[in-house]
Amino acid sequence: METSTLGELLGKARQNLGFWKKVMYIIMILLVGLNVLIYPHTPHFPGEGKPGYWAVFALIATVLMVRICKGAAHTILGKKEGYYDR
Amino acid sequence: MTASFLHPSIPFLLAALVIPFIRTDKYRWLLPLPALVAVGSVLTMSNGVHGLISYLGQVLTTGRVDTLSIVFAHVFAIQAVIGFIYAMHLQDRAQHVAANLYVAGGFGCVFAGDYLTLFLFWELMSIASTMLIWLNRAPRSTAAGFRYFLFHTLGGLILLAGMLIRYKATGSFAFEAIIPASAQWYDYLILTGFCVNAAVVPLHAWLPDAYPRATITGAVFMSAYTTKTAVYVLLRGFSGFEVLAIGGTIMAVYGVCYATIENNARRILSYHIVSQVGYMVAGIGIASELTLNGACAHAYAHIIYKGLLFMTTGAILYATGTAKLSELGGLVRRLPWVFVLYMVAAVSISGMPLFSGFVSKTMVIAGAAEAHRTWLALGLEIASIGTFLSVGLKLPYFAFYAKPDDMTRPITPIPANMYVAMGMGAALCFIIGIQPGLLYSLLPFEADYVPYTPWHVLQISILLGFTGLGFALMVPRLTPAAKQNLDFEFFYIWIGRLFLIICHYPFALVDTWWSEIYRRVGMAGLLERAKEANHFDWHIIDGILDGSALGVRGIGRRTASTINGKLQDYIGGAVILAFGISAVVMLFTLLR
Repeated sequence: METSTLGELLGKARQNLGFWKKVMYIIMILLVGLNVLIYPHTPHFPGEGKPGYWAVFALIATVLMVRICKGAAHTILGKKEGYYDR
Repeated sequence: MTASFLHPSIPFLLAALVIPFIRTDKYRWLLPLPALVAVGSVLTMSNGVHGLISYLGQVLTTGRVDTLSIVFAHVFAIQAVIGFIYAMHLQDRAQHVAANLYVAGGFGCVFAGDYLTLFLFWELMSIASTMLIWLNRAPRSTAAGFRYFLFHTLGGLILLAGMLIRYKATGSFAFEAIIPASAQWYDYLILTGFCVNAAVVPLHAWLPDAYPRATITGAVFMSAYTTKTAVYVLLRGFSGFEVLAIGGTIMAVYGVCYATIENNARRILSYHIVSQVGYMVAGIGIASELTLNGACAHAYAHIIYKGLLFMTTGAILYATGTAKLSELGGLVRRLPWVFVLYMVAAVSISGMPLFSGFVSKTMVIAGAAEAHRTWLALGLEIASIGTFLSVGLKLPYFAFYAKPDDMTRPITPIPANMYVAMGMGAALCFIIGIQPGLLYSLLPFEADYVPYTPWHVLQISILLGFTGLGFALMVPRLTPAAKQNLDFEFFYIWIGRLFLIICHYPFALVDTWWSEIYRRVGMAGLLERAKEANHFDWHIIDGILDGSALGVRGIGRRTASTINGKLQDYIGGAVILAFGISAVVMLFTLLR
């Protein structure tokens, strides 16, 4: 079966999942740390000046979006494929 | 036509006329040629009004060239080059003809100086894009194509009504900016017609219904032109309308919500067109110089990265035969370059620094915030998060990883030309990202904006990083279900069915009555007459006619073989004929 060097490289990435997760966590901590030093000079949103504002915002928004949308899909929106073919 | 203006539609119309008649298949090497001519034409044209044509007692302006039309024409031409390279391997001439007509329509709309010209090209786009859906040649594509065509015809009629009433009231078809405070009800009709094509919620459902059912290459073209032409006409005519500011933000959030739950990759991307066009529409509605520039810049960047997204998912569909995430997974070792190229587009649409979306999307959001439209700006930030969640993480994760490496699935090799086109798109996404000045120099309004400030870069990095964390937490819940999700097309379809029932009942009733009357009264008299006629016929007429009947039978047999009774074929034939005639007429009027 044909594969390429790039394919092998990308395939390996998932074997080192733990390592990549650690890298991501360190980057995130660094980003929030930087947020203490770098902040908007003219905040447009209330609370935007506080470090970690956008981190919390993004996390909450992601979780809520998945919960609400998936909930709607499970209850009312999701139908069998070919629903209109009848 | 003046020396400094060659209408970019002309090479495409010529190509559409010629392609059916070329004997060899080698013409496909020349497919990008009209697009290259268009690039040359756009780069060399001078501002002003060109291509005036007298038609129907009106003076039509086919070539209004200014900074606003140039920025759209610029990216239209570049995407046409990429799109036709991507389509080069296709042997289906009908698709090439339809794509050429479609792109010609897009250019025609951008350079139209009056509503009449705009309408002609608007409808050309609508018909040609319907062909790009039908040519997928699958029953569901046929049905989706009919729905698409009906809806766009409705939108076109509303636009036509608006412009005719406007003409009656003002005496002019001139297509100029309308001031929100003095807008009349017929202006709102025109606005509604435009909003259909811009896929403004709730008039958007045609888009995720039809685009995933178009041909692989057709979807690449359609993702670029229909909605962005609508963005252009909204920019030109309706900037500052509050309804667009709010409607655009709703679009941005609505699109990402549906993308979160969708299963079909091309449908996810379709919902992201709704969402991304939402940024542009919101920018047009807010109408500060920064947001208007942002709308133009975002349209430019969007056409390139969305084209790349549709090309890469099209490549997955081409290679595996499906675009459903529930049937994909574990493909990263089989299609590594498709993955990499897809990710370039995915981080571009998500607005990651160094890629094109970052330099355009943040303009609209910053503009909204600076104009003190805090709620709108917050909505657009949420849409950014949702974009990264579904296009940047969910789609690639479930298509390329998720399951164990799939080394056994048969994969159709992807033609080189598709890789070349995808590579070009990816290169552009990166170039615009690192050299935003190139894009900003094309923008029509005066507004200074610096994307690469420490805060902008940090803010978007935090936003994307923690969206990733949220994804990691929620990934089991995000597993795509092999279902379809209801949207507003539910209402369109039921309104259509209701209309049929309403028409059907009175006719059926009248028909029953008439049959009854006929049976009781008409029948008896007729039978008597028939007896006499029969006698006459038997003895005299038959003798004369028998001879000629034999001849007629021969002709009849031949005719019968061409008439197969499929309504769809007749409509298709009629539309192609209408197409051809209008293309010829348009070509001659343009050339004159």
